[in-house]
Amino acid sequence: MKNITTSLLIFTLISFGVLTLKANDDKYITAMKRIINTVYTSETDEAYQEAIDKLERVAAAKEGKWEPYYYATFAHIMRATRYADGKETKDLQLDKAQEHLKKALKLNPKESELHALEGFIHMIRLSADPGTRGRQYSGMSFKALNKAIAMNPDNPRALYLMAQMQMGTAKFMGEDLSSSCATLEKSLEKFEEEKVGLSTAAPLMPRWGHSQATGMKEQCR
Amino acid sequence: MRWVLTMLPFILPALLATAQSTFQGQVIDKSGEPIVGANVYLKGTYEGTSCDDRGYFSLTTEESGAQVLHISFTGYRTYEKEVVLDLERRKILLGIIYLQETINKLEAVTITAGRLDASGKHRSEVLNPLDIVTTAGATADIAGALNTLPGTQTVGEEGRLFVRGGSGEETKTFIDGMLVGNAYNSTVPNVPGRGRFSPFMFKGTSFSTGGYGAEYGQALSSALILDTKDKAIANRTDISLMSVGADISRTQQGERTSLAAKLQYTNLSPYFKAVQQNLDWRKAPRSIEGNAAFRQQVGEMGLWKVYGQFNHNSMTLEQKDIDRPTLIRPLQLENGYIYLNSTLKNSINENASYRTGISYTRDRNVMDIDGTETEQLAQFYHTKITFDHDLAEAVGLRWGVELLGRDHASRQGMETLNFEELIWAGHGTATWYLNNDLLLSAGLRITHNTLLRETQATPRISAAYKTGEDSQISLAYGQFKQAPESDLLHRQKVLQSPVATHYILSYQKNIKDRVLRVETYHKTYGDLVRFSSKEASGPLDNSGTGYARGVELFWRDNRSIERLDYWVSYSFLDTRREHLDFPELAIPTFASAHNASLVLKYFFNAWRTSIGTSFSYASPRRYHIQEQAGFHQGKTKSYQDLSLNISYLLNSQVILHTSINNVLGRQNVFGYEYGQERNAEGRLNRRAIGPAAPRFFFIGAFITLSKNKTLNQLPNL
Repeated sequence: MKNITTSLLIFTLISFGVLTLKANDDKYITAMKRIINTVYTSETDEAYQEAIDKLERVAAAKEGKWEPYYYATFAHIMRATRYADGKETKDLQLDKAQEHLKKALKLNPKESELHALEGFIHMIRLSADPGTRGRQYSGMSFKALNKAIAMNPDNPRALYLMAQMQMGTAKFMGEDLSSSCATLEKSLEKFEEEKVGLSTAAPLMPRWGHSQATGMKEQCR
Repeated sequence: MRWVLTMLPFILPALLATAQSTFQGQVIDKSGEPIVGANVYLKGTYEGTSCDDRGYFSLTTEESGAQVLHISFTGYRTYEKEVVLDLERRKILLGIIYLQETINKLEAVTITAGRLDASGKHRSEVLNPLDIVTTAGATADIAGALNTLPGTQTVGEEGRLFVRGGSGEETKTFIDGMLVGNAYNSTVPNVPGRGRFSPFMFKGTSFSTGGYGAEYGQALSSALILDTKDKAIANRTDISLMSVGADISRTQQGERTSLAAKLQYTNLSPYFKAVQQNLDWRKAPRSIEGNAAFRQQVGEMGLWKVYGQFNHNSMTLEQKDIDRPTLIRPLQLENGYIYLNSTLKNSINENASYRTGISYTRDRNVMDIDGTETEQLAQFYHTKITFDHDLAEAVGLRWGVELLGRDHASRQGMETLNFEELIWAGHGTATWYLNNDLLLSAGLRITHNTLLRETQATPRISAAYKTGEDSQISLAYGQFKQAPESDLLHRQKVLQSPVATHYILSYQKNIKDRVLRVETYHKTYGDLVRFSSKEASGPLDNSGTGYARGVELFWRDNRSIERLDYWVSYSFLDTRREHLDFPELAIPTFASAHNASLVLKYFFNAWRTSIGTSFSYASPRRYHIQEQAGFHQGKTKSYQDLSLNISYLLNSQVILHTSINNVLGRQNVFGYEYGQERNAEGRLNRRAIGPAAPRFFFIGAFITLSKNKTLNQLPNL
């Protein structure tokens, strides 16, 4: 009897534990979904900061997850591009972005999306001062984006950012845009595939970039 | 036991039963300012809130049991408090919560006194790393570019850095912290030498015009600290075709290593044939140079760097005798140079790191002056280890030990002279951030010189205070010792190291891509080496003294006009010294009271062309008139130079570059050399020392071959 009692007790505790974990994970996904939505729809610098605060809370509560750091990185990049005026303020946001990205990469070094964001950060640094940063950051950005594409050739965001880098370079050099437009075309294809393929299986995976890529198409006409 | 089983499903959920608690409070910093946007949450939960614009927060939670309330904000120390939430609904009033500021070393005050940064790292930088290679008139020479900054004096016949009344020898060059012996190309007298190291090797430059830290020594006036680039990130081949020679380099990189090698040949004879020169060359300067850089990442944070360079150059100048211009006195120079440097930096733990390295320089000169041959062989060794510790959040300690060796041998005919010098040094510096606005730093350097048999301790103290969000003042005081020059030690080994004492007061304001800098200093020299008889012979002693003082201004702006970047610098210098054969306290011939530079760079987007121009002015320099009473009583005319450079991006792989120095062809005079005989007017024959050519033209094509098309050398130009 004692054995049965013990077994039952253990069983109950384990199932309770599993259920709690499951519930915890559901709770994580629900919370993250909500925050990701606010990141995508933020319209002010403060809204981004609020989202970042929430992401930091989740990251602290749920250790070992890379997604909160990914979106915090993304939110900081958005703040740098949309609300920062001048090189120094941009750098301030990008430094924070890089801090978050570093944590995410430590948790998931093989994630293509993270390397794409790294390329994005270098690209924005470059754009803050192309004259002096051109060489260093274009090299770093291309390297990170190449890595992202090598890890996942179907990553539409990595392709879209690559198209941006290629187009910027070609424009600067006065060359034709055919290769950058080809990359953009490919990224748009992958965005379409992603739309179809995006299932509930990966609810927290990034899905931004389609509209920006579509907007960029203008320049290929 | 059974009751447990039965009750378990009921008890467990009960523990997690819904009960709401509300926290309320206000978060402020120590000056009473509300911390708007501070992140407030219960650790381990997703529930949280941010402080409003008065610092208030109200957080409602359904959690229960023992919890940790967490309040954080960038720039402040995180606040955590344990709270126990019971099953009742309640309101928990937390009152006022103070957050303590943390020290953010990127944002905090930095010491700028005597320090001109081009590292790309600090907010206080006055140049960015690329400026070194894009300044017109500098012809991609590090010293040339730094000569447009405050604190330097133009000395056209030397090519070295002369800082704040100090001679060229008083500036020492360090690569990745390791000493470089004889950092400038060997050349014949009155023909300026270039720096031996290509500016493209470096990612950052810290040029100290005084008051530098205890880690560096053996320089009375200035330390030029160069940081080489880290691991290369792309495979590439670079080819340069220039009016003065050609080079080819290859860079190969792996996941954690990279290797770059370069071979360069320079020969000025075709150029000298095409463009008129002021000097007559029997054999125009030519050189062959090779260098290689290896990088290996060590662990997560560490980097091992190895660099090696060799150079061989030779030239023969036909110098006319001052008294009989038909008499040619050939001057032949042959130089072989090797520099090796290996450094390792790594972290020990989160709060400590180290840098260690070894360097070796071998510089051999054979000079033949009108049939008399002299040979000089100088060797320098340097090894050191430096530790950095974060003792507390706001307190840092840097300490280390090093060993500097100098072997010097000189042979003229059958006579040989040599000496070996070994210097042991230990240094320690404590840095204390009282808060983000106030920084104090105190250091001590202790050296023991085995040749001079002297042991010395020299203090270094500095402080910086932030006067506003973008401005700060800083102060620096320090004592600096440097063993006497090799030629003096060959004469006499019983000597002491001369000493310089620096006092610097500096103000700097950085506002959105604009920099304003004002600095004033006072420097005293003691124990300068002097001929006891006041003539250039006989025994030496250390009775010499001197001083230098001045005011310097710097303004840079690359924001007001789009794509235009310019800077202006002005230095006033008042200096006198009594050393060597000076009979009295006198102005040295290398000093000029006023130096000013204006540098402009403009990029034409549509033409993919950048144009740069610089104008430099130096007031008259002193020279000694042999036949008149007095000392250094002559004054040259002022120095003026207008230079221009143009870079054109032909396509993504080819850049064309051209530059002209001294566009106006002004005949600058640096001083005079005297003969023995008198001319028809009864005055001693003399000859002006001037530039080697009225103008200098440079044309080059720089080609980059790489899979990555954007890696061209444009930003290099």
